[in-house]
Amino acid sequence: MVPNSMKTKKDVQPGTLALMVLKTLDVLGSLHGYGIARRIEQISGDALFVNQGTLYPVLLRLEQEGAIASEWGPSENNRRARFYRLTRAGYKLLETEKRDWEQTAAIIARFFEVKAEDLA
Amino acid sequence: MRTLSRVSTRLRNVATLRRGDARLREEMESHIAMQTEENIRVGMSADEARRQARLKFGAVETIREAYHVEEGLPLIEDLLHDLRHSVRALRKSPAFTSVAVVTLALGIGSSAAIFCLMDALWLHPMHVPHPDRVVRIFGTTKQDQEGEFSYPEYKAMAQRMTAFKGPNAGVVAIGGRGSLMPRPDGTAELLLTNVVSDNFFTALGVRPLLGRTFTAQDAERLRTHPAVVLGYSCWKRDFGGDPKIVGRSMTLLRGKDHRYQVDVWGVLPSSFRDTNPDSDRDIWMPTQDWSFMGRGGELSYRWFNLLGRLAPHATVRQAREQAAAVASALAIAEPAANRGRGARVASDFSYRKSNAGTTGLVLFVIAAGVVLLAFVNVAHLLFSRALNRSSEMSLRLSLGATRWIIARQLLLENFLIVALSLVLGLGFAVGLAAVLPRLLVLQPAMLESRTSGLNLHVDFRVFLFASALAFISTLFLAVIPLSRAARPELLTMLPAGSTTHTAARASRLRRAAIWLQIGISFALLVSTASLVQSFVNARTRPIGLTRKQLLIAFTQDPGTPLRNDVIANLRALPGVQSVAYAIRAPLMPSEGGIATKVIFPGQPELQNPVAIKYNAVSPSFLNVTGTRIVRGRGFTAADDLNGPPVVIVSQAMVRKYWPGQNPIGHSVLLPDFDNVMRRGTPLEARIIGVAENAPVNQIGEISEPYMYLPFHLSQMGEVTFVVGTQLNAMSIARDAREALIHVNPLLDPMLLTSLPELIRFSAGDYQMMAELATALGLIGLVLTVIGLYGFLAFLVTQRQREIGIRMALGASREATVNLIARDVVRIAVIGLAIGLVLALAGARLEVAVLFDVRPLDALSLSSALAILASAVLVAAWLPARRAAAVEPMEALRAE
Repeated sequence: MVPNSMKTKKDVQPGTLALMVLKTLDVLGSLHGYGIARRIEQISGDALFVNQGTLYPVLLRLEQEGAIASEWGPSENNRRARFYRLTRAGYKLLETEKRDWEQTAAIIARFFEVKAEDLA
Repeated sequence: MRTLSRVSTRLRNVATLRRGDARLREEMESHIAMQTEENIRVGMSADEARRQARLKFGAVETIREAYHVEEGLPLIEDLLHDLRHSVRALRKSPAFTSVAVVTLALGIGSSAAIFCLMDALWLHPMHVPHPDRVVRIFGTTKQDQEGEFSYPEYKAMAQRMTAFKGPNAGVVAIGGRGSLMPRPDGTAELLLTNVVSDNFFTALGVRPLLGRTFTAQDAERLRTHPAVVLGYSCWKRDFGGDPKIVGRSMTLLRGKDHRYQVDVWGVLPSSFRDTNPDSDRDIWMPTQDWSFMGRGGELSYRWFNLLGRLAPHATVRQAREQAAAVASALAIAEPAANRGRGARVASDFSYRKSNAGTTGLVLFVIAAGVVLLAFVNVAHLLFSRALNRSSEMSLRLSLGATRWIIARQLLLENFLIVALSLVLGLGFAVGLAAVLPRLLVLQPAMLESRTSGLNLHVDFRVFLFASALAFISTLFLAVIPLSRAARPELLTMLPAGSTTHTAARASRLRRAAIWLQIGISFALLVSTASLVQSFVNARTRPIGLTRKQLLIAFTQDPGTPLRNDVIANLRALPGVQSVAYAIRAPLMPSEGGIATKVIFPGQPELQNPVAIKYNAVSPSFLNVTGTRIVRGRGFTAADDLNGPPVVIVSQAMVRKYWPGQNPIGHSVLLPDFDNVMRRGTPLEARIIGVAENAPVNQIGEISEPYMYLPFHLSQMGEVTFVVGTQLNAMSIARDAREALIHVNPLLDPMLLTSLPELIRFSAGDYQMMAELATALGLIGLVLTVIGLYGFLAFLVTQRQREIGIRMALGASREATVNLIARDVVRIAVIGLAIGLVLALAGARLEVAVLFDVRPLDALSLSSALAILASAVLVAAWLPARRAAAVEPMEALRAE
C-alpha cells in the first residue's frame, strides 16, 4: 500500500496544476508533457515546479475524466512524444474552473483589503 | 459524471490488468531527453545536462507510484494481492487446508440438507403471489386448535370478515374428498379431489397452466354445468398431458348407478399441487359440483379448511378479532351445534412452522450441534496454525508489515477456507437432497404407488441458509487472527513450541473448546441412541396391532350378499389364513377417524352428547388385526341384526368415563344410529368388552376413547377388507384386486396396501429421525475425534521437553503414557459432565418425539458413553504413543 503522505506531497496544489494544464492547452493547442511543463514554468517563473514529473499523474487523471485526449506524435526534433489536447468537455471544465477560481480569488482578495476600522 | 467516468476507467484497468507503465516510461524518457537537450543548449556538459534533467524531473519511482494510484483502485489491488498471497499460503499447507475445508463443508452441507428437507416438508411457502398475505382460519374447541368448518359456517365467515374484502382478497374453503373415474375396463380410479369454494383460485392467485379456473362469477353457471380443474400430476398420468384437454368432459361416478359428465376447464401448474407442501391432489371442483352429484348434504359437515388472503391494509390481528366475533355470534345463534367453538387465525407461515413442530426443532438442534462441532474443530486448526506461524508473523512484523496487514491476510485466509467449504458443502447438500427423499417413508407401498410429490431442491433459500452459516462461521473464525493468543510478539522470535505465556493461554482456551466438543458430541450420541431406540420400538414393541402380514383393501361396500362373495373369493387365494372387514382399518391415511355422538345415561354430569371415534367391525376383525380384548368378550356371529345392540370400548374410554370401574354391562346411547326396535329413539348399546388401546391414525398418538360396533350398524357405504396372509401380503395384492373386481368392477379398491406398510409409513417420522440423527451423530463423532486428536497431538508436542526431562530423570515409558492418559481422562470427564447437562436440556425437547423411550434412559446413556469412550481412546492412541516414543536427548536438544 502506498503511504498517504506520498499522495499529498505535491509541488503545486493539485487543482491549481490541473487548471494550469487546461489553460496551457487552451492557449497553445496540442502539446506534449515536456512542453506543458516548460510553458507552466515560463509563465509562473521557474520557481513553481520542484519536480516536473508530478505533471504526469495529473495528465492521466484529466484524461480519465475526459477533459483531455492524447495520442502519440513526433516532437519538434523528431522524437516520439505523447501529445495532449483539450476535448469539448475540457473546454467546459476550464470555463467552470476559471469562474470558480476567479470567484475564490476575488473573495480572498477582499479579505486582504479589509482593515480593522472597516469592521468597527 | 467526471468521477464516474474516472472510476469506470479505473475499474476497467483493474479488471483487464492494463498498465500504462510502458507509456509512462516512454513519456518520461522523452521528457528527460528534451530537458537534457535544452540544458545542453544553455551550455551544460552532456553529463551535467542529463543529471540536472533527472533532478528536475523528480524521483521516478515516486511519480510512478502516484501515477499508478491515479491509474487503478489501490484498495482492490491490495486485496487482490493479499488474495494471491493467501491462496499461496493455503496451498503451502494442503493438509491443514483440506481438513479445515472438509470439516466445515460437512457442517454446512449437512445442515443445509436438513434445512432443505425441513423447508420442503414444512416451511416452503405456497406458490402463489405474496404468500405472506395468506392466512389460515381454524375452528377451535378445547381439544382441537386446528379444526375444520362446515360450508354454511364458511359462508358466514366469508360474509362478515371485512379483513378479507377486496378485489384480490377473500376467504376460501377447501376440503379433501375422493372421486371415482371409470376406466375402460369397467373398474374405477380414485381421484384425490379438493372440493373448494368457487373463489378459491382467484382469491389465492393461482393461475392455470392451461385453460382457465372457475371464479366467483361462474357461481350460477356451475350449478347446472359442473366443472373441474385438473392437477398437474393427474393431467400427466390420466390424460397423457394432452394439451387439448381443455373444453373436453370427463366422467365421475357415484356408487355404481350414477354417472356425471363434468367439463375440464383448465390444468394447474406443477408448482401448485395443494395447500400443504407434501400433498398432490388430482382434481379440483367447486362446491356446486358436489351438490350437482347429489352429495350437497355433506356440505353441512365440518370438513372444510379455511384459508384467506388479507385485503391490502388488513392485518392478521384484525382478521383474528373478526373471526372470533363471527364464531361467538354463531355460538349464540345455534348453541346446540356451536357451543364452546371458537375461531383462530394464523399466518400461513406460522401454521407451517407449527407443523414442523418438535420433530423439526429436534432435527434442527442436532444439525446445529454438528455445525458447532465443525466450527470448534476448524478453530482448533486455526489456533495451531497461528502458533506454528508465529515466527513467520514476527518476521513479517519486523520487516515493517503492520498488524492490520497481517490480520487482514489471516482473515482473508479464513474467508477463503469458508468460501471453499461453502462450495463443497453446497455440493454435499445437493447430493444429500437427491438421497434424502428415498430414505423417507412418504407413503405406504400400494399396488400402484404414485410418485411422491416431494422433491428436494437446493434452491435459493437453501443457498441463502448455507451462506448465512458460512457468514457466521467467518465471523466466528475471525476471532482467532484478531485474538491476542495468535498475535505474534515482535520479541518472541523464538522457535514455536516453547511454553510462552501466549501459548499457555491458547491451550487453556483450547482445552475449554475440547470440553465443549466432547460435551456436544456426547449429547448428540445420547439423543441419537434415544431416537434409534424409539424407531426400533415403534417397529417392534406391542402397539395393540399385529405385526403379521395383513393385506388391506378399502372399497365401496357392496352390501351383505356381494360382500360374502368377496370374502369367499379372497379366502380362495393361496396363502390366505383369515379374512375380516370393517369400515376402516387402523392407520389408514383417511384424514381423521369417523366419530359419532354418544350419550352416557348413567352419568348425569355429561349432559351433552360427546363425539367419540369408532369403527364398525366384523366379528373376527379385532382378532385378525391383533387388538386384544382385555375384559369381557369380543363380537360373535350372533351379534348381528337379530341380536341386542352391543359395543366394545377401548381402555382409554374406560379410563375417561368409568375410571376405576368395570364398564361391562353398562349402556351407551347412540343417537346417530337407527333404533330398529323403536324408531326415533337413540340406539342403546350394551358394553360387552374392553379392548386394548390401538392406534387409529398414527403410531405413538395419545390414545383417545374409541369404540367398536358390529359392522351391520355401519351406514358409511364403505368397507375395508383385511386379509391375513402367510407370505408378504403385497404379493397377493394383484390377485386380491382381481377377486374384488370379479364380483363387481366398482369394487376396485381405492386403497390397496398392507398393515406392515401402514405401520412402516406411520413410523416414518421415527425412521426419518433415527436415520438423520445417526448420520449427524456419526459426523459429529468423527469431528470430535479429529478435534481431540489434534488437541492431544498439540499437547504432546508442547510438553515434549517436560516429558524428555522426566524420562531423563528415570520416568518409564508407562509413566509417560499414564501422564497423557490422566490428562485425557480429566478432559473426558469434564466434557462428559458438560455433555450430561446438554443431554438433559435436549431430553426435555426430545420427549415429545420419542416412541416408548424415556429420554436419558440407561441404554441410551450407556451406549453413548461406550461409543464416546472408544472414540476418545482412538483419538488418544497416537499422541500417547508419540509421547512414549520421545527420546529424552532429542527432546532436550530440540530447544
